[in-house]
Amino acid sequence: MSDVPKFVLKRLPENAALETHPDADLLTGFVEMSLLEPERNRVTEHLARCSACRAVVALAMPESPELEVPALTTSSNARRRDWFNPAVLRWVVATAGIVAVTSVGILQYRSHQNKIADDNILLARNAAPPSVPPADQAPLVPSQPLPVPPEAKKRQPTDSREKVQPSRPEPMATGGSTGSSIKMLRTPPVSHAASAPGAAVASGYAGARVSAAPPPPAPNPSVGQQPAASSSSPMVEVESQSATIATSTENEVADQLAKDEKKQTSKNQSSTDSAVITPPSRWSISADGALQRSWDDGHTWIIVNPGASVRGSTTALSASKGAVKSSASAATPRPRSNSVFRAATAFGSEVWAGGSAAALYHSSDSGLHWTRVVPSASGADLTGDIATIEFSDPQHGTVTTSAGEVWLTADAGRTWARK
Amino acid sequence: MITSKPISAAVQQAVAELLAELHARSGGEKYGLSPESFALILSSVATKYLPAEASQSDARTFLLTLRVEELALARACAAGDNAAWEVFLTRYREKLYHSALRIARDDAAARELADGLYGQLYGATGPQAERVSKLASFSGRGSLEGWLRTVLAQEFVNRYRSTKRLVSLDEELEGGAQFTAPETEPATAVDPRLETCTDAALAALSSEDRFVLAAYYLDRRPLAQVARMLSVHESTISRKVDKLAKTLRKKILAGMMRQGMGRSEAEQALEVDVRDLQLNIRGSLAQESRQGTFSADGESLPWRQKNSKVGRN
Repeated sequence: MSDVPKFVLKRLPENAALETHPDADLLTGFVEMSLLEPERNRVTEHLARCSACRAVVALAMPESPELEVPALTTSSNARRRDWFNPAVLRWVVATAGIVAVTSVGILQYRSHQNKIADDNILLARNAAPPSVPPADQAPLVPSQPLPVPPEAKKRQPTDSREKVQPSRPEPMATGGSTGSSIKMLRTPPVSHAASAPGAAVASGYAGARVSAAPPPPAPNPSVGQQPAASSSSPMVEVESQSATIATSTENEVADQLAKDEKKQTSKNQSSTDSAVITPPSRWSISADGALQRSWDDGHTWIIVNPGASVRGSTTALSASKGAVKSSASAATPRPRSNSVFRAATAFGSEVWAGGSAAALYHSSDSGLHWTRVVPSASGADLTGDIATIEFSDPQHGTVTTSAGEVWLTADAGRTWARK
Repeated sequence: MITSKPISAAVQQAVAELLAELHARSGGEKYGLSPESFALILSSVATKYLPAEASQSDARTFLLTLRVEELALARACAAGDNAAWEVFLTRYREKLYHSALRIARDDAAARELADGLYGQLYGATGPQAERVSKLASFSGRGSLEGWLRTVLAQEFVNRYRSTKRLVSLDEELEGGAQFTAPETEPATAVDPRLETCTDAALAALSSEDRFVLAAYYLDRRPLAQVARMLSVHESTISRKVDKLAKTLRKKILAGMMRQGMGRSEAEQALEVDVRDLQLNIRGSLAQESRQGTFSADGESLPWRQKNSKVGRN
């Protein structure tokens, strides 16, 4: 603020002692803005020269910042002028601008953070298996061969990253008849008859979400675990929920899908503390018999080799009906890393996969760790190729071999009985 | 309150026109205040503050701005009406002490100040056993509460000035006042052209501008307080002070240059440090005359002696 030269201040007239002072009524009226204009001017003129009256006015001001209601409307007009004063509006506009810029910045920052978090989640899913999802969000189970939509057949693989094996859409043979296709349905368990060699046969659970289209991309030939595209080996991805997937009609599929969507929506709404809902994984058998898993709803597939990640030692359990020989047992050879799988099923984090040469693997952590399981009852082990695996719940399941053997378990594979 | 100034016809007509409305609004009936008595009060107030040449319209406008309810209460109290006193004490006794405490900032001083004013409001008994209440001087130009604060402030100023002169020599010795160097006027010679130009520039300012300058620079009051005294926003006063300072300097310089001074010479003359002004409220009040600034009977020194002669009943 600019200063006034002291000489000028010295010249300010302060000669009020020589004249009269306004009475208390006039000073009160001045404070309360209730004087008429000529009177107010006279009082102001006096106050400009009388320090004593200025002191009285200062002391007589009401305690509240808000002055008392004046009798005239001039003060209200003055207040209104103050509010619409350009100086006041200038600060209001500046403050509003700062608030707006800050808000936009915060929103941008949050959006950026969310995008980074999403990218990290996707990277984590593609790079390594995620944590075990809850039981009601079980991994997927490959099941019956499904028809591939014509438009999906035209899709070509684009991703050739290591271990990410896009599968080419192929028709899958079912029931030994190559070229005939069925849709995967979420229906009560139905025994499968499809066991043709070379065909990917899988059993699932009812309530599993079935995604027949689009099929997974074609596998990466460089890995050597995916055969060349074969027009007679379509693929099926199944997202297991609670029951076996079986063949059914399209209407049943639609009804079940609607129910599952509603169920999933209610679950998502009820879980308020989960900011990011992890979709369940999908399991499938490729055309060349490789077990593969997808964390992104079937867009990319990763080959999983249970034989390479079998736990070092498991104890053989004895039961009345039989026992399970662990992979550490000398009697059971460890299968080749590129075993040909023909069936896979999942129930929550419990995953079962089986294939040629009695290769039966079990994982209880969504595929992070695997255990070689050799069903045995009365001294006889399961032999032959496993054709189907069916589990009605995590405890009760049935394994069927290509030779027609049927093995049952009621304790999640710890003991088996031959039917 | 009796005024020696004759009541004009315009005031009489305006009072007659508005008497019924104002008397009903005042509630004076419950204090035993008849319309005739109230008409006399209104006429005396209007005659006191209105110029003799005021028209009936002016008188009407003036009467409508009065706080007739509080005017009737004060005048009834001054007349000794018990019902009015009950209302007055209920409304204002606590406020009176509260305002005194805010002004004096000391409980004992505030009690003394408020009790002294209360005695004046109740009315001292005159030589002829007549009761003279300070409330008889309330004219309703503002609120009765504001008027009480103003009277308290006037009393406080008068008391401060009187007690300031009664400071003992021991107190001054303890305060080391005797060792302080006396303020001496500087021997600097001031160019008479500077005085002339400064007086002209100050005279050209409006009364409000000079009031702002005096309150801010001489009294050293905060901008917010100056703004409240003028019922405007603080930012308005801030801009006004800044603008006034610049304008004053510019006008004075221009005036001196018109009188033949060069710019550098004028600026040098303007920066003459006459003396370090350390003025404040109490200091400036103590420098004034021994006579009380505000008379003890509630009336200031005859503010409107030119136009009217105010008596009291």
